[in-house]
Amino acid sequence: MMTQAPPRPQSKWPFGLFRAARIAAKNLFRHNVVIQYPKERYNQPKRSRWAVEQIFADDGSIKCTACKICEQSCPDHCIEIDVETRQDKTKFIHSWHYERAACMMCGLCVEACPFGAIRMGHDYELAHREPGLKSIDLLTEVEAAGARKKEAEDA
Amino acid sequence: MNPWLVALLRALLILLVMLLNGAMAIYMLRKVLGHAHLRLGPTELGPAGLAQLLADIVKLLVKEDRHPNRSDRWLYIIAPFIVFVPSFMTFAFIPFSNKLVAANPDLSLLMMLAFMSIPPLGIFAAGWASRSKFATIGAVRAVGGMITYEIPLLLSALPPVMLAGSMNLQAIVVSQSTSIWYVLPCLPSFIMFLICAQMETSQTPFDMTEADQELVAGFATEYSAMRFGFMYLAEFAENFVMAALAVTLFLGGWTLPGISAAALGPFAVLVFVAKCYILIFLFMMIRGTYSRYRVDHYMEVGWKRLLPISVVWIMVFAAALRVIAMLKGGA
Amino acid sequence: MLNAIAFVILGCAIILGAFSVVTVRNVMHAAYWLLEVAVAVAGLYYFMSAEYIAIMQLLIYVGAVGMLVIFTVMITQRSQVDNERPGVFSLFAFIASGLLFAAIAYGVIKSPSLVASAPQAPMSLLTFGQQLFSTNGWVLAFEIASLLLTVALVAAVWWTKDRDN
Repeated sequence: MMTQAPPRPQSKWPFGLFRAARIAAKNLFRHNVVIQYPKERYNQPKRSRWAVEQIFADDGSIKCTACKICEQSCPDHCIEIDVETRQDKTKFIHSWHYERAACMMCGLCVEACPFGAIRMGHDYELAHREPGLKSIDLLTEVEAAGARKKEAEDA
Repeated sequence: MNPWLVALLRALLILLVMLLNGAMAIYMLRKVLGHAHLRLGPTELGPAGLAQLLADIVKLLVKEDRHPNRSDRWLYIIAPFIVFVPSFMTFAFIPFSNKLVAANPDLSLLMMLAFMSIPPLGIFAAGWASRSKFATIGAVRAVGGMITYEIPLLLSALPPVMLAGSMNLQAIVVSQSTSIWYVLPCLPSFIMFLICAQMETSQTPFDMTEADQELVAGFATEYSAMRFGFMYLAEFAENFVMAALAVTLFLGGWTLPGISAAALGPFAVLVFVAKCYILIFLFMMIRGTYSRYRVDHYMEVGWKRLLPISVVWIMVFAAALRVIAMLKGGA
Repeated sequence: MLNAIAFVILGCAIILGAFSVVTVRNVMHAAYWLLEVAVAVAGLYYFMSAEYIAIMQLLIYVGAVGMLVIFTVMITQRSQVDNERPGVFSLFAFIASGLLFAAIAYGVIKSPSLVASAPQAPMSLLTFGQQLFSTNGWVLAFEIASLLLTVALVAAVWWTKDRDN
């Protein structure tokens, strides 16, 4: 079992000054720890959270069923899903609207999604000059995933 | 040659030295502080960031020079000059080499110290005239600290005078070449001088005046463009002057031990400047290492500890000199 | 020749500064004009070959006493109103000071023994120190002055101490 060493009592002699000077002098020869951004890139951890992205399969199909659980779980109401439920109970997503600039990247929507349709992205260069990228539509005019499954059952 | 022309040329040369020193010191400061903090300093502009200073100067020159509405206009305009001119004048007394000293009166050390006691008034004027809370507090703290540490500064400059027997800076340097460098017998004076120099130039650990987290830019908060540049340049000039004074009084000036003045020749200037910059490097490392003193703490250290210590040390030193003289005379 | 030019310039600076000290509206400006007078007087001392006195004037008057004056002005100012003083003109004061000036000028012009010629070169610091501290010199005055200053310092510290302790 690891025992903590008792804290060093403060002595009345200014030895701390010399320790500080030694550390500073050693620092002069140490390698720089700052990432020089445009030339070097940030090596992100695997689970780092940036903006929300839809997961597309290889054939371009989505897993989102427009259940709106992510919309309800977002604390800032960043997600707005405009979905139309047709007469045969299939859903058609008109727009999956995402206020990317308001998003605090907490990941609650990704945790809440029961179908694993969204994920936290890894793209951190989100600064933009054009005004249209503040709030974007991640999906426009697609069939919700559940609808395709029902079609496959019918066919 | 016409003595007026000679005087004018000397003044221009001193101005050039001051500007070059400012340029080099600013670059050195940013790089040294950067590397002491495990980061690089400026790297983008120019090779290894050398042109950053040029960019800063251009920025300072083209910025709008505006004074706050409620400020005291005359004092606001005059204050940078009160800070800058005495700092500039002190450059004249520094002996760069055997023959290179712009002004060499008999009491050059005293004159230098007298001129260095004027900038605090300019700093106060700057802070007062800005009529903003940051500026006033910064100015009062700066002035309080500077006048406190002026006395130990003067007193710690005395032991070399006692050893050399003259107040002339050139004579002090020359007498150090015949005996040892005065840092050895007067080591406590040297340390006190460095502490007071750190305070007079408002550097950490005594930089309550420009504690950026607390006071924005202290007394210079409401200043922009070249007025700010003046005071900034005056700060670096005073930095060099303090280092030069310490080198002259304690570290042998432009002499090297064992080499005569004639043998050094023109290299004396290089020797002197190198020593000055080693001391400036030391100042910058201290600046980048230690945490800031609180205002009342450094006032307490100045009045209650440093001042009595310097007075007692002078008495002890003078008594020791007398005793040694009596022993030598007797034996 | 240089002395004459310097005297004229410095004299004008002193007179202008002194006049401004008493007439300027802003009290802080008046304090800074006082400093200007002190600096010009230091210059005058320098041209009279009193190098040491000139330096002491700068160190003490400008560095210490000037600072004291400025701090006093700053601390005793309660509001912006206190900063401006009224510029009243008093005929009585004008006549009184004019008479005083005439009396002093008459005394200075009529008695040639008051005016001496300045020494060519300043006294060396060694001689100066020896005369200051020798027993038939000024050492008594020096000691009394330092005693007075010490008493003043102790009294100031005692006055401003917390009375409850």
